[in-house]
Amino acid sequence: MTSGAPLMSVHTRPQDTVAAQSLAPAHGCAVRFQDVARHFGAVRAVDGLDFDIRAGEFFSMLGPSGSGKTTCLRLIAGFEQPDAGTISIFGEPVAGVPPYRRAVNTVFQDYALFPHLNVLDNVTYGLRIRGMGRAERERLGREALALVKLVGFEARRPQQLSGGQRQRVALARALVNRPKVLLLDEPLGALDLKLREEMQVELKALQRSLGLTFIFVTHDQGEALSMSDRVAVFNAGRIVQVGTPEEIYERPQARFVAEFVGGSNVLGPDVAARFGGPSRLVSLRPEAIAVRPAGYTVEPGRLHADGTCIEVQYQGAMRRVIVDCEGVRLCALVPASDVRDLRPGEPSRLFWSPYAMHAMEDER
Amino acid sequence: MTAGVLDLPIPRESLSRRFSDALFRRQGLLLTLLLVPPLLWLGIVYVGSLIALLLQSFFSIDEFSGTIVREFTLKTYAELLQPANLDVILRTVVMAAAVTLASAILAFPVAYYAARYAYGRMKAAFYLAIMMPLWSSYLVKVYAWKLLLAKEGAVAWAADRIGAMPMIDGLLSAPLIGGPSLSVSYIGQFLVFIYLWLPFMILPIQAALERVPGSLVEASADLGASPNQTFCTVVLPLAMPGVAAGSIFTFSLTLGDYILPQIIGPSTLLLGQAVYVLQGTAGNIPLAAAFAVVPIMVMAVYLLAAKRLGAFDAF
Repeated sequence: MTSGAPLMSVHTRPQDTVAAQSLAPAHGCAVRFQDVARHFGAVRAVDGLDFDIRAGEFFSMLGPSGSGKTTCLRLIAGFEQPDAGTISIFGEPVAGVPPYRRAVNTVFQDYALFPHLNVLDNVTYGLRIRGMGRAERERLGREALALVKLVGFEARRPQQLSGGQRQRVALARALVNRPKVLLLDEPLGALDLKLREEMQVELKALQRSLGLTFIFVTHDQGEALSMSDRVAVFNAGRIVQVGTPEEIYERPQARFVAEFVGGSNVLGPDVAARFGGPSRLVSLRPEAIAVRPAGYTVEPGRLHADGTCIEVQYQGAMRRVIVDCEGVRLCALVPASDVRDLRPGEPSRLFWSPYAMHAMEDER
Repeated sequence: MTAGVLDLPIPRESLSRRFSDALFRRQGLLLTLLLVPPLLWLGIVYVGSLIALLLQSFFSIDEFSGTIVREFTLKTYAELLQPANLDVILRTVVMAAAVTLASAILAFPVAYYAARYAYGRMKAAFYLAIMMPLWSSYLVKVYAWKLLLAKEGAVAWAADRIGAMPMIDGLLSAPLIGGPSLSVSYIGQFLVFIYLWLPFMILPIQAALERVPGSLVEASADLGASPNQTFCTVVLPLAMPGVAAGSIFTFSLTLGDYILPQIIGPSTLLLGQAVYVLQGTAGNIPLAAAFAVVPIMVMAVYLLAAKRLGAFDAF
């Protein structure tokens, strides 16, 4: 292990506490992808990736399984090498740099805790590898465990922990090395809903206080939207759109983004025009549509469509209503009180504001 | 008997279904039925004969009549500790340890490749290659090796052709382990032992390595460990239960073998041969029994040491 390698400098810099990392993030670009491609045989896992991740931001890579987001993360970590293009971490190209020389750490999807080591030894593994003395590394390890609220679990084996606790150990094990960039590969996937929501809040708080760059892979759009500074939406090995959660949700640029992020209604140019909108490919969010009984007088300036209710789905306080408007199925998300008496098969009238129809890039 | 509500035809009530019902309600009965035959076998035939063996070792032999004196004595064990007999034990334990160590070193890369990199056809080919030697007769293999290692054998011929004969001669001229030819030296014996027991080392190591998720290796690299460090701190500790299991095979099989050393190697006895000769031609059953207790003790000590060293911690 040559500690003189430039990328390792962050690890060998003397620092007192884990929290000391919360120095203002170095401005600029944490990770840069320039025309990066990775193929597995004939399968293009990622292709033509060209984007920047800013230092100190919470960046999510969102997409369905097989869309290339995990490959992208593995390219940054160094587990995969690109077939074309350049990846730079903090300005330095990392072609041919093995994972153990990169100043990034990963929280794995299956946590990948070492079963033969206890919690504290797991957390301090990276420090031990770097040759730090036992007393010093155990102090830092305990601090990291305190950071993820796992004090008192030092002597346990990973097998004796719950899913949420393992996840925290994995997080502490990565953070204790003070990486410049933390990679998280669907870390909340295996947790139940309540725990997941708690961890979302904690992860975000942790990222803010440490000022680290987080790169977060997920297929859960809610998770991506609620935690991220910016989101990249992946489909079929390419990035469809990069933007803030607001941009992604409210101004999708492509059909895939509109449909994948929150299940928007996507209308072709002719259908959009028939409903009174622009003659463009249009996204119409379910929550922008109101549902009333047939014949309801719509206030002027609103657009409307008449159709037959197909289904009313229970969603707690809300109802998801699917209405067939002359062959076009529209999905509306409305308060339960609006559709208390609506039954499938009954006629109903939908209306919405013209501004709710967001024009997107036309499909080739 | 049927609790279903589906309008499907009800299977015919047969004796075997009723029997299954009875077993379903009384799980203990099933367990008893399954366990009694093997437990009887283990208890009476195996453990019983072991105890009989142990008892025999506390008897002694009358030096004049050659008959067994069925009285408790430690005389036989005193005899076991005579230098000539200790030599046999020491020689065997050293041979078993050397065979085990060499097998582990040879087996690890093979098992690692099979567990981590071989898929589909390659994996099938691997299993075939490892298992095939086990399908043929032990005696055939040992005799084949005798011919291969003989002075005029294929190994010597090939070594002569590539000019490696001086190397073999050099090896054979070594004190103790050398000899007139490979087939009558400890070196030859050692080689054939490795050949015979290698599959028993490869398979458990491979099984242990297959249970090590690839993400652990990646996590280690991610945390800054070079491949070398990852091997020492993650892969090897997690493979240790497999190495321990494999070494139990190679070690105990070498300790007890009495056929191979008769055919290959010098004329001095190994432990298994000593037992064979003592209970047969010499008719000294008590000393044979005492000799047979040695491998049991050696294995017990070995396993305790392995446990102490944490070889089974990964479980």
